[in-house]
Amino acid sequence: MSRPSLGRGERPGSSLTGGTPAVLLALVGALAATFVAAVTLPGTAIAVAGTAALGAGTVHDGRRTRLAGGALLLGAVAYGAYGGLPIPAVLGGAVAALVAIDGAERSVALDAQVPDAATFRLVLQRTGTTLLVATVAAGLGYGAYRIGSGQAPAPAAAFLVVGALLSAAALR
Amino acid sequence: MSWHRTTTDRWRWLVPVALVLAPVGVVSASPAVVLCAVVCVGVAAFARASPAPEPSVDCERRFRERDDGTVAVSLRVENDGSAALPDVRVVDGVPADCTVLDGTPELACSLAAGASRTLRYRVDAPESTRRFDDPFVVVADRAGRVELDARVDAGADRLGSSRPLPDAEPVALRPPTGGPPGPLTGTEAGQGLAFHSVREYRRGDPLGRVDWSRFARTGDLSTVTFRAERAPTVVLVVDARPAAYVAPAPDATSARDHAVDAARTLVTGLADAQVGLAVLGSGVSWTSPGTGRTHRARLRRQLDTDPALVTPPEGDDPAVAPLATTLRARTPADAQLCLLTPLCDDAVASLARRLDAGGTPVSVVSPDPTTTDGPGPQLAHLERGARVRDLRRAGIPVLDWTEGDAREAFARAGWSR
Repeated sequence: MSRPSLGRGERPGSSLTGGTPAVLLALVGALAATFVAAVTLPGTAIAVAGTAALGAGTVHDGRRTRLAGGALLLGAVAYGAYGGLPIPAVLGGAVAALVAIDGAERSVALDAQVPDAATFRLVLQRTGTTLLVATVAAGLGYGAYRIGSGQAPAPAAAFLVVGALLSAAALR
Repeated sequence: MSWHRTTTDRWRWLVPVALVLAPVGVVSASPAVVLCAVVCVGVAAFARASPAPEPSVDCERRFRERDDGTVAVSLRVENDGSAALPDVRVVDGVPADCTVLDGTPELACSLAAGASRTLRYRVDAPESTRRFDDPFVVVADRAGRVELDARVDAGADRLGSSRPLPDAEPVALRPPTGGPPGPLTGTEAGQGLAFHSVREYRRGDPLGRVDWSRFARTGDLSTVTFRAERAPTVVLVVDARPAAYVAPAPDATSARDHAVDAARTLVTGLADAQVGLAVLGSGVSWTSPGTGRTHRARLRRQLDTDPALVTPPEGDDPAVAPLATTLRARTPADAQLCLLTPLCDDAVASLARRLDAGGTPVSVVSPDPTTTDGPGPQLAHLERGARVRDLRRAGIPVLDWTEGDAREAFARAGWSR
């Protein structure tokens, strides 16, 4: 079944329709992640490249370009840890990058399906959910790290990741 | 209704990203990098754990014609299921050639169990029937990982009448006395162009109407008045009684349907007049005279949907006297009637004479369904011819329409200019 869509600009309406609100949220997220990652020159370059790829993939509906942009943004934020960023800032950057990726994906879908519908509220709800989930995950991870007084060996954290992956697999 | 499932796997790629970040963090002894992997895994796990929606969506579309010639369309979307639908996107199936004037036929929202939302928009009233497709509904889960889509039945899907009104030249009824269609010049003074009289000036008369020449000659102020102009009022009376449901052959178009075609032509041809419509079936179905696009659309709808005009008539012919009484009571005082009938019985000819004698000018448009194949049909043909002659002798103009379409018949008879 082909999905019908209506051409943008054919009808009068608010400017916050279709994918526009999601694009704005994605832009905010990408800028925040870039800001966090901009502690080293390589980190800044990677973050800018990621933001550009995310934007290009959104405008031209290239899923691989978007995913590459998202991965670059996350990588840039992680690279910021080597520039001396505190852990909360790195986690905040990671959450912002995930919000940017979510907004970009959502904007493409909304633009294709309901380009003239008012979507601001829906985007706030759905991307807000992503923000909440990522923040909770970051908070739990950071809490676990702090409970271990920050002295827990890195392999322990790796085990935590593996355990989370296994939990995710069990939920399939 | 079957839902088509699409898995977007929007967050699946986060797992390999996490599997890269975690070892890198371990090797470089960077807890921050490992915690980035934890965040990625958390979001991916949430997406995987989000239950796929089980939608039960009900849609109801309504059309409401407005006075400005547009149609307000509302589509109510209701979540009939017991679970909330976090992400619902709806696109109504507006026909491609229907212009949306206001609002949007699209909706994006979340719906709690039992909740509903209504999208509203306005389209131009089409000249002919347009069929709306069922609305396209997409339902996604909280993380946007799974999307289900389907076309949901919305009930009403047809907008407008079945046929557009035909193009027609202006038509003049009762050509000998009625004159061409357009503003009629009345006998009383009022707004117009034709000179009526000169009277003494009254305070408040516009200065442009003062006869200054007379004032210069005599010193007396006087005011020039003109004849009032008004649009003629015509009521089309379509004979849909069983007696009018006759055709020259079993598979031929009935005289009633020819009369409906003539009425449609007249609605267009009498564009300068106030046109009303009466359908004579078992009773009188009445639409008051009026003008304008919306009114013409109303007439067109009645001509296309009135049960007396679209279904074969049943039962006996109704008595003519009550029909005449009803018509006389409803017809405006200055209106003329145009009776569209095959004149296949004496009752309808009597009706025309009674109405005309009562002071309402009547003209008759009569499609001829009779043939001369055999003695019976020939007798009916002769009787109808006698009725046509009788009416004409009574001063009632009759358009005896034997062949061609209504437009040609009006042109041949000199009724259209």
